[in-house]
Amino acid sequence: MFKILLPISVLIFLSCKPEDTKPKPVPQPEPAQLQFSVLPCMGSDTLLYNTYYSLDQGDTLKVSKFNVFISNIRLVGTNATISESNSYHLIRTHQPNTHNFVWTTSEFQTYQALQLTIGIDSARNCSGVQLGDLDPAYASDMFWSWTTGYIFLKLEGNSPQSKNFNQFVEYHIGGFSGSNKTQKTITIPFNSPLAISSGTHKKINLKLDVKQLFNGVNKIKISEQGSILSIGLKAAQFSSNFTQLITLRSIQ
Amino acid sequence: MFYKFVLYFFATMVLVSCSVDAPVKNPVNDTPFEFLPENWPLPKYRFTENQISKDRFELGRALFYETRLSRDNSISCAGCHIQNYAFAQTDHAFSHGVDNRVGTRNAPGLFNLAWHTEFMHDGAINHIEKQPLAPIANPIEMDENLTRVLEKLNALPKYKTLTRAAYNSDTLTSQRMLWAMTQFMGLIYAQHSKYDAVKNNTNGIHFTAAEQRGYDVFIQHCNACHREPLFSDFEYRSNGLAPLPMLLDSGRSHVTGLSKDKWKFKTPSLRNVALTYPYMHDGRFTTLDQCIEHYRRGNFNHENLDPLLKGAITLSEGQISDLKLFLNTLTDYTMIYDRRFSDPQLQP
Repeated sequence: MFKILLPISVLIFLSCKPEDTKPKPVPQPEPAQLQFSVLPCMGSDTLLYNTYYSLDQGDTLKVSKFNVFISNIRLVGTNATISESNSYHLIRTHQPNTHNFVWTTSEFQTYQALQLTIGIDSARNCSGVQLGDLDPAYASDMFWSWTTGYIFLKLEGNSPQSKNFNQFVEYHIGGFSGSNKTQKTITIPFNSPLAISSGTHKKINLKLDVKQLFNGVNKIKISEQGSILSIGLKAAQFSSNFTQLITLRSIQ
Repeated sequence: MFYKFVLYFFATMVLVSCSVDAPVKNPVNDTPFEFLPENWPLPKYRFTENQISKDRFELGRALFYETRLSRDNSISCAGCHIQNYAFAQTDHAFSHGVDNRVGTRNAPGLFNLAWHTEFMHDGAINHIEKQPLAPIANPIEMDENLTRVLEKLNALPKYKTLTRAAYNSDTLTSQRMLWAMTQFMGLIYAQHSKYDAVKNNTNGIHFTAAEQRGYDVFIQHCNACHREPLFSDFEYRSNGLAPLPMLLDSGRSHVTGLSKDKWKFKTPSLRNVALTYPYMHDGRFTTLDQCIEHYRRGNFNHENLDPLLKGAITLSEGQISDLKLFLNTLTDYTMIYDRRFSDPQLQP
């Protein structure tokens, strides 16, 4: 009953207002556009295929494939945290059109940090068939069909230090629950607060650095671990290096 | 605490009196599919997003019998999941794939899948909608990729018609395809066996004295794992089978990476067990006698052996005979002869 009465009383109240105090039409706020741009790198260099790079451990690596899922992008403010809806992005480094995506928001606040997950949350790994970047047809090379779960990160290449056939290097990293969990949520603070208001257009340039996969908490020697192809302890250890994989280059 | 849960589909109209939760409705003609027996738990998959319709079911049915899911267009789901055998495969222990390839596990029967949360003998697949992706991609099964399957099917007028009816769109996408397949697979219910008739107090149907004795044996020795009314607890257990040296199939641990799960496999349902020979994940036993003898022999010395199987199960020859007669009451002849589940191209 109250639900019905309330709008009626508001209507009555509004209709009783004198003509001249009617509020002037407020311009419609324009949604802000945040364009994310991911630059694949090898240390300080832009990542090139078919090029050998020296890693910090002394190993040499040539990359032939590097895909990574980033998801659940958030902006963290003092007062509020906002999340991109359906925030799942498969970055295929050999496909430049996958390096960019736009988040449109009307949550006008000032934010101190960017938060994102390398990998995909457990819920989406356990739910039914998804659309978009999670579509098992689109992401067929990033989806284990023999056991349910997305491959969060796939790095393939060659290295003289690899003991695998043809000096292959293959890291297919996934596993989303319990001790096998490999998805990592990272927080990237902004140098100065990012104010988002009506009509803001900002470009957030991110760096995706292959070298960090070998240099984190667990130093990866290709001669000792040239391939990880299933979930488990090795994949979980490898994923601890995800924390520095993505960093902020600039905001324009 | 008994639920009367109703799934709507395309049979006759029935009054819904006390369904718990929202019943699953068919948006097309709002007619019921089946009653679930009163002592059944609610299904785990509820068709909430993937709303049941006759057209989606029919698309799923066409896909289940579609050989174009395989690389050389030779094998369909029904190739290894045959309705006459409760959608299992008899005759051979391992499934046959493209190019005369032979699999490593026995094809299980398909029924009551909406009650499962994990699929395959090792539970590797955690959602019914994603289940078909595994045999499609497996090199020793269909050896095909999903993108090519969709290309092949979208090129056919038949699937344009079926997809338009089901989704009001001409294009079959992976979600539309897998939702439709889920409707077909998820609506195959094994619930019309003699056992069910006895449990539901259907007029004039009773166990024979021998079946009743067999039921008592079952409750005493088998029901802890093969739990009524679905005849599985859906847990992973090692039942003492020595791993076959050629395969060394580690089962559940292949999925979890945990050594405590080594040699464990999902408890299979005993519904339709008379039809789903050969038995066990590797099809090593061809008769129920061999299965029962395995448990009677017992005294396994086996890593991760299920605690319930320490020692041996003592059974007399008479008890084994009774138990087999009871197990035969679990066969659902309605399901295996139901034309709605048969190859649409073979319809009269």
